[in-house]
Amino acid sequence: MSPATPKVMLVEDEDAVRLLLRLTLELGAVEIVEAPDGETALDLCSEDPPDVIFLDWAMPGMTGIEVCRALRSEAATRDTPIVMLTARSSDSEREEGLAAGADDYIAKPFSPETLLEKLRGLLGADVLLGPA
Amino acid sequence: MNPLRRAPAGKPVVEATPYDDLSSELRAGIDDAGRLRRLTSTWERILGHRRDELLDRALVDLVHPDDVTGVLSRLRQALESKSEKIGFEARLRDSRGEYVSLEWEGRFSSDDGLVHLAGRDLAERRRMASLVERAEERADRASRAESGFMSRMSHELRTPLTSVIGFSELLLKDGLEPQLELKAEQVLKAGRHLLALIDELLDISRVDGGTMTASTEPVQVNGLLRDALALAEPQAAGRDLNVRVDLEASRDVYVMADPQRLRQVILNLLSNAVKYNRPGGEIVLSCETGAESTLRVRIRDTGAGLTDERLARMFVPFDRLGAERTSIEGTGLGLVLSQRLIELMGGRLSAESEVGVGTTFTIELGVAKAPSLEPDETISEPDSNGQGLLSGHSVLIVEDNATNLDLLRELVVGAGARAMTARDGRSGFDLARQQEPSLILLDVHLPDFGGTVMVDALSKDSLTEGIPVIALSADGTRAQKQKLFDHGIVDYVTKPFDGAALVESVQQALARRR
Repeated sequence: MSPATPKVMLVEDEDAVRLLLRLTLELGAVEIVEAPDGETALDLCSEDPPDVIFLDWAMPGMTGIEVCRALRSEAATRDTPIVMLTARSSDSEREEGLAAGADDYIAKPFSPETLLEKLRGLLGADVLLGPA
Repeated sequence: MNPLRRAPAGKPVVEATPYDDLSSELRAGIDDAGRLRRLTSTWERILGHRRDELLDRALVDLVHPDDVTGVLSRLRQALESKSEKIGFEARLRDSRGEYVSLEWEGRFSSDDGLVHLAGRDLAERRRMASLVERAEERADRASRAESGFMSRMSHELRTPLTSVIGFSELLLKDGLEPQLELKAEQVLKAGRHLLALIDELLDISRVDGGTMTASTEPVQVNGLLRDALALAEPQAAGRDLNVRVDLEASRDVYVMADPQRLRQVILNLLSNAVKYNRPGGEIVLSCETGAESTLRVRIRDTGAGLTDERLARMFVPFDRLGAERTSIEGTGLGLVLSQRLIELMGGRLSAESEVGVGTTFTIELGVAKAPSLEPDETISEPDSNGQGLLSGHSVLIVEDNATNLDLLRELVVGAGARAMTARDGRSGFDLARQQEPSLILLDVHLPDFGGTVMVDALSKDSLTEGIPVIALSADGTRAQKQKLFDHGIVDYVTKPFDGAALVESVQQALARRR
């Protein structure tokens, strides 16, 4: 129906969490690209930037914060919405994420509803078919 | 008793007290000629001079040449004033000819006509101070390490829990057969229980490790209590409980508290009052002014009550006081955490109970001065005793047009809610942070901020992010409207508006709020 299905990138090193994200977001009408680490994510973004990025904070190699800064310094992803995922929940960490250029923040564990709500908020209510 | 005073006057005396070898203080009595007439044995130990050599000698014989003038003038001051306390630093020569820096205090005594001096070794004192400092540093590091460990562990536990909770929620969304659904629900329930445990343990370790600090500010009690109550009421209704509220004594009262933490505690106590009540029982939330400008917030339930023996263990971690044998869920940490949080704010949390009657929790907090409002800001308490469609809520109205503002305020208080108002975006934003209203009515054409900027600012602030915003606009194009929805408003009302429809829209937005 819509001219282009929005593309969502998941950057998360934990396989189980990445699967959970994918299965949840597939409840909406989106195309999903997965990256198990920050370096892969940056490569994929430079080839074909997604519409939204869900980015894990704590990853081996580049941390989510570093990836976030790198994405913000590239023209292609300067304005791409980024949602940080983190198991930490203190305000200072949250602010650190926002300061690095993230648009939003989800604390793990998250409920599918929260995730979909954020996605709807970022892509616009009409773009995404929500779950029944 | 001062050992120097025991000796008869006139004769030079060396005294030793049983504590001399523990003390590092040099004590002496000096006569009006500046001679040492009485000495404690610490002079021998610290300076190494023999006592009998020192007696009857002038104090200044031992004083560093540069300090002599100062010492003499201080001694004169003590002798002449008869009552003034003197204090000075002076170096004294020890038996090896080296100087020891000492800090002196003294006063004339009419009992024996001597100036009594007490000197402390400054180097010794600095050494002690640095020992204390080092010990404190070590303790600090240890407790920070412990709380760092807890925070790390909580992170490690949350990751697998994300799968446990997330996948069981997804399973339940799939629409399972009843038998499978029951099983998935158990997994989800256990996962959430673990998560609550981890969160509470982490909070407790942050309080104990000193890494959690309460940022206290004047908090309007009734607003916070009504908001908490609105969240707890569905639970209470589900168990057929009657909730009575008496907040007359706390009308317009502010307490010094951390609003987020205080809300956490009130919600915890209310949730306990629901969980441990008898079906069809009662919860009473009330306030009274306490001694020494404090406010007491009481939450009373009509549950089974506790024996004195159990009550004494109310704030012991993991002790669920018998509830572990019931089906009522709990971590056994909520009250422990609540008590620490209240203490962190400088308050007190206590409990009374009577078997068969119920339990009452009392929070006692210091009353604060009301923060001064900007000239254009107002707060109005609800009309008609808070009955109405919006009862128990508070609404912030940000609108620059005075006529519209008055109209909106009347609608809101008439529907039983508290209303607060601001005339521009800046003060509206500040008021939202300070008061944390249940909902915000936002004019999208403010003198300082546009609608989307304001909505973004509110949704990015941790204190205001969850507050639903309804936009008000006189000239909304479809595109503008869509843009505001994209930025997160929950509803859009076109001016001129119909009062009843607006109240209904507010009510629906509040009902949708989780």
